[in-house]
Amino acid sequence: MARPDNCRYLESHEWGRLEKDGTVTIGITDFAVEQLNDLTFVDLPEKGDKVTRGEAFGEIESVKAVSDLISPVSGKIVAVNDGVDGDDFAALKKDAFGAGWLIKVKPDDAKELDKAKSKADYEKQLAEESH
Amino acid sequence: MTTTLANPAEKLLFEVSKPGRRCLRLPALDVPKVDVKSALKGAKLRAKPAVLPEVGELDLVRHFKNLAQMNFSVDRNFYPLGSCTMKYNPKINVTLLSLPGFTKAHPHLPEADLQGHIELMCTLESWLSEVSGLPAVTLQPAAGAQGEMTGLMVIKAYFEEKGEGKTRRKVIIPDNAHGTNPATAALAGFETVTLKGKADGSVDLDLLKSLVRPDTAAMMITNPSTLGIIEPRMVEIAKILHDAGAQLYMDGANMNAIQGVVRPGDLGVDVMHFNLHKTYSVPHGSGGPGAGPIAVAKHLEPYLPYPRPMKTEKGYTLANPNPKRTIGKVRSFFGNYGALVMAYIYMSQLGREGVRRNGENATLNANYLRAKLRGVYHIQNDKACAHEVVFTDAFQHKDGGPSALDIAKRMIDYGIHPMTIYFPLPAVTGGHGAMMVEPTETESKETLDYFVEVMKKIAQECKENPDLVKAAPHTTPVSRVDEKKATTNPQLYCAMCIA
Amino acid sequence: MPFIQNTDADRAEMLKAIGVRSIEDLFADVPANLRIRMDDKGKLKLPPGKGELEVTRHIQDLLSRTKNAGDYAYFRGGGIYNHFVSTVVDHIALFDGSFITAYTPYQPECSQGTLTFIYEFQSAICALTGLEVSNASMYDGASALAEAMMMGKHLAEDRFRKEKRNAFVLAGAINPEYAQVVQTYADVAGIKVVRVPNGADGRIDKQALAKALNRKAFAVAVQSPNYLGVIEDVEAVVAAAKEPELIVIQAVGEALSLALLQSPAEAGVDICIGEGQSLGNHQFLGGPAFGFFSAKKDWLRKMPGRIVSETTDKDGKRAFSLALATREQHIRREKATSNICTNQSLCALRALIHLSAWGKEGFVELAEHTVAKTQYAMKALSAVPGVSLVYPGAPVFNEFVIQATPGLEKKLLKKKVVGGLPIDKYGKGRRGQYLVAITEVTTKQEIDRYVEALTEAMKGKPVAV
Repeated sequence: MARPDNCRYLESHEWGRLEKDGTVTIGITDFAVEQLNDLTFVDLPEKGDKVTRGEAFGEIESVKAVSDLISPVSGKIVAVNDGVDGDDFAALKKDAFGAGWLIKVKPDDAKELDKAKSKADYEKQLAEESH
Repeated sequence: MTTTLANPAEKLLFEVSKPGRRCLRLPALDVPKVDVKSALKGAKLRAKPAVLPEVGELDLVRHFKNLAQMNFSVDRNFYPLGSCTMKYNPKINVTLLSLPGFTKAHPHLPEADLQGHIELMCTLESWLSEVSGLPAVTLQPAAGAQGEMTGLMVIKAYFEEKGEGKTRRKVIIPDNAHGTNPATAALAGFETVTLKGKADGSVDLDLLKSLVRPDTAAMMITNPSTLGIIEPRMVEIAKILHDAGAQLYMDGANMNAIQGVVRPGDLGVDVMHFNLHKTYSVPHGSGGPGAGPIAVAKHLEPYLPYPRPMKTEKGYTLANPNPKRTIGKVRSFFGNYGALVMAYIYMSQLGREGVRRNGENATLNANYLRAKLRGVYHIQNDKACAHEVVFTDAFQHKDGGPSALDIAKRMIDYGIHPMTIYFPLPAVTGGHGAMMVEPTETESKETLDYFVEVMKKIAQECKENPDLVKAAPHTTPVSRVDEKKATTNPQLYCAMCIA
Repeated sequence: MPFIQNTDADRAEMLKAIGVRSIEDLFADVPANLRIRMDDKGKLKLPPGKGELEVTRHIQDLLSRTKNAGDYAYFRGGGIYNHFVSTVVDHIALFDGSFITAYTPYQPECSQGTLTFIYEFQSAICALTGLEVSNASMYDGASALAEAMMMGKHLAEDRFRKEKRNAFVLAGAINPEYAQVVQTYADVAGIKVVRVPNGADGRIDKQALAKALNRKAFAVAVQSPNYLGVIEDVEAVVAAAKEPELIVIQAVGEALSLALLQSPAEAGVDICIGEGQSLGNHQFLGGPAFGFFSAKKDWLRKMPGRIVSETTDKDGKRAFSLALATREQHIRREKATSNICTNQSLCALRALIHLSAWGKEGFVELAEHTVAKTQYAMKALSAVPGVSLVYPGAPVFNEFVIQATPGLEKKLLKKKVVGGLPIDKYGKGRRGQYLVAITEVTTKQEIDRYVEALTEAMKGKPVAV
């Protein structure tokens, strides 16, 4: 799967994308989905909840592991992808950067997103990790 | 192949159930029969009887004997499950435990009738005190994790009385600790601070110094560590904590190696727990029950749970000597007394020499495996280990080769229970899958040699026939089990049980 | 040396293979000055080891300084009950090493025996409580209630993110052992435990309950039959908890009562926990036995403890394995909702064998006999001059409270009767009250002996008011 250029990436494998309406869509990368190949559960927050940059907004579980979902920006959640919350992962597996998005956030400061990695830097990280 | 395996199509009791069958009969009712509805007037009754199996005694016994054959156990198999100390459980433990003096010992019997039991508890406390080098013991915690919790509660109560309860909020825990440590600290109302261990699993003193602050309540350390290494700087660690007014908790899960060799109290430990089901041969019982007594330094004794067994001039008694300072109770009555009895019987047989010999032979056996498998499997720290040795799958799990999980499953085909895998966590073992082997002192050199032979054979198979290993086990009643399905689509009871 | 098979020759060979001169070299990381020297008798003061014959004699000697429930006409319960345990239970669970010397079934392929019986046990608990999920068991009834409290707290945090709910309501007469353990857990978790007293009929004081059940609380627990033996109206508690949206927990002290009484699911509770000792487990001064723990399926993901699920192997055959492990401490670490790392498998196995050996009909008969004997004992004891029932007319299953005078124990003991448990410490105004327990083991003859001994003991005593 081609990773989009218009997303910013976190070392912990989340992505964020600034949309035209000023909100930031947040998800996890295809790499994370593949790593967690035994995905069993996604626990997402509720619409209206606050998220903080660098802090967990939810959890993703596989059979024998649980990982925090980290937000690349601070702000208020305006939408949650009900198609993913819980135990339905078809969308996440098929299209991690599209239908598999997790939450949409109205950011306090959209510029925070720039502090995350570019696609090139993220892929460099992946290359290093595989050694 | 050394295993005999049962009929894989073994039906559940609920499935063989047939109306009208049963095992047990009651004596004729010797009081007037009553109509339950009128006798329990004012109470709501259940609509239908609970759906329980209806079976005859032979079918019942045969069912469990068949299930028994589908299990590995210490009685039948070498069980080198790291961190669990799967030693032999002497038969006399259960024989004596089944005497009516124990089985019918009701907790509300008059104290005069419990004298022998309280004496046993007092003596066991004194022995654990000797082994730990700490003056006071409580036998109440039902398991290691509950011992941890009791220990942290005691520490919390101590600081509260000193007026430092609000400030000392943090507990430092090494990253290679058992999961119970951080879970317990959180449950006991502390924040956890993770201390990254050195590559060999030992404590980085400079890093520790930088983390110990006025808000530190305690550090929880496992010694020997989960990487099977005796912490060489315990005394210095204790000093760093004590200088800052904090306490040192020792997780005694791995006590089997150092019992009789060194006493944690002499190393500066303030609180420790024992896992009697590991170190003192209480059978593991397919996952429990065990017992997790704790031993504490003098200044922490007043906070121990009540009741405490004590010897007085008038005889033995169960007392609450510090009603204002005790943390309360963590378990009903006196803990898992039946488990305590078995530990007592076992320690009676060991005696002073035996305790030391156990520590020595557990350590010797683990080091022997380390030496014999060097070069065959990657050794996480190739230096003298304690009761267990941690290998990894680094030599095998590359270029698509079998992983620690595959190797573990293949062991089953050779009649050996798999070692503990993926603990310590990959983050602590350089990303490789850990394979933690704890042979215990009760295994003979011949069994260890057989294990070495099997592990070499599997290493060979990993090279020559990796698919054989990856598809293992091949000789069990079921092939590799779909654990994911169990989690994503859980079926937790027979449908027929709930109408 | 006991239980060590290596010979001196083996040890020498092994040391050589390791490349060290002595075992002592393997302990180089222990500071030399702190190592125990076996010639220093001041340290490690343990007696010399005993052989099997000697230790058997020693245990018999210790037991000679004890008496047990079987030595008396025995009428005490209060959480642990003097039941009959079939020999089948001990033969499978105690004397056959297959289950007792196995570990937690982490490797399902070589642990199908354990996994299967845990699944069957869960099924049996579901059958008894009517609730859809049961875990593989907890330490005991008391700590199961504490765990249920913690689970209720976590559920409330999830469901009512904006409300600060911090109170746990213990309604009516709860076993003091349970209440004490709950208090210990609550203290460190910063939870406020609110007690609701029982009324004059032995049941929960409804007005006080209505007051305590508000949105400051996250859960309410009720024991039924309660500590005083009285069967509570659990359904009424569920109704009272509905509006403030509290989790309702039912505690069961005598699991046999589930054979006859409205099931927790029928009453509508969220969580049902209880002490399982009554189900095929010996008394052992109160442990080990096990706590059972069941809940509505909606709450599954917050359940503490191990859970076994049916699944399949890679050939599609039925198999069992542990499930939903990510709830547990070994994965979630400091974020886990419980630190529990064991279950009481062997005690759960005993319960399963016990329930199956009695079976669907036998288990009900067991309960019916208990009710009949309890009714007989109630009438006979309350007919003793000076003795009365504290809650006359209240529905009871196996226990009830009588009012007599304090200090009767010694007189009864002379007649080989251990009468009801004095409960003067349980609350004000309970001087001279005794909690009497009956099981299927209790005979009419024993009850009559109790009546006779009590009649004699009460002679010349002023009649209680």
